[in-house]
Amino acid sequence: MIFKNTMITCESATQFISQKEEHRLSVSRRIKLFIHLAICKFCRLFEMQNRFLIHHIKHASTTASLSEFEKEALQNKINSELKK
Amino acid sequence: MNKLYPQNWVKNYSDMLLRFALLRTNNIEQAKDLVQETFLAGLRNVETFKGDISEKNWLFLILKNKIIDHYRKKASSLIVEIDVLLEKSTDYFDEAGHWKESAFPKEWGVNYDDTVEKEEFYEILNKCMQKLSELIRIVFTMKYLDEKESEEICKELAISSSNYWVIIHRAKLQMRKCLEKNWISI
Repeated sequence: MIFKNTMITCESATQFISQKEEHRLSVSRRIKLFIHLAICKFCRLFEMQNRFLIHHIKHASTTASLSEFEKEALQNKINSELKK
Repeated sequence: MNKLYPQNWVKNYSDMLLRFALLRTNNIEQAKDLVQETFLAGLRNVETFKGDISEKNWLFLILKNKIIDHYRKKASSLIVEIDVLLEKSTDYFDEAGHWKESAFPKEWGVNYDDTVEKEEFYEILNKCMQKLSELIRIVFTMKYLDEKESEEICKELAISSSNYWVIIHRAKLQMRKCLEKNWISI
């Protein structure tokens, strides 16, 4: 009986991982997740890779830029507004 | 005391504002429009500039508000996607809630505590973000790029907290899978 109540699915475990990361996981759920992670290597991988992903996402960047032509047009627009 | 120099705005700030907006909208034309709107709104509000923050930070504040407005409009029209999302968790888990064999997370062979310096990694990360459907991308961006609290995100987008958790869960499953597929295989 205890066994049945402590077991959670991988789907729940991955949801709990997100909630844990935001400190929104109750003590009983934290215990269930702990037990699940002890026996499930896929969810352990998910947790580590998820942490890795979140750590790196902040450094996402792009190299897009306006063309010289677009810049000139935009600055002209600003200048004409300034004259008003 | 900081001052405004609108005659230099484009030269000094257009590219950084554009990149910031592009990462958050995933649409270059939209991002360009947001930059232009930011400058024009700045001009209309020069008298509100007190000089207590830098010109750059002030322009970024305007842009951030514009992006939030943009998100709000998008979110209200995209909220119907939620039902589709709820159904789709079958891509990753079977009826019993176990990982499907095709979705088993694989070992990446990296040190998960290290920071990756390679540029191509960030390009892939970007591409994976772009592949998220719009509502998921917006929530994911607000949470992890702008590091907002979930309550704030729910409030700004007018979504329930249970919807928030569904979306964030989905985003992570999809991003993890996309990175695994495109980066690890290099």
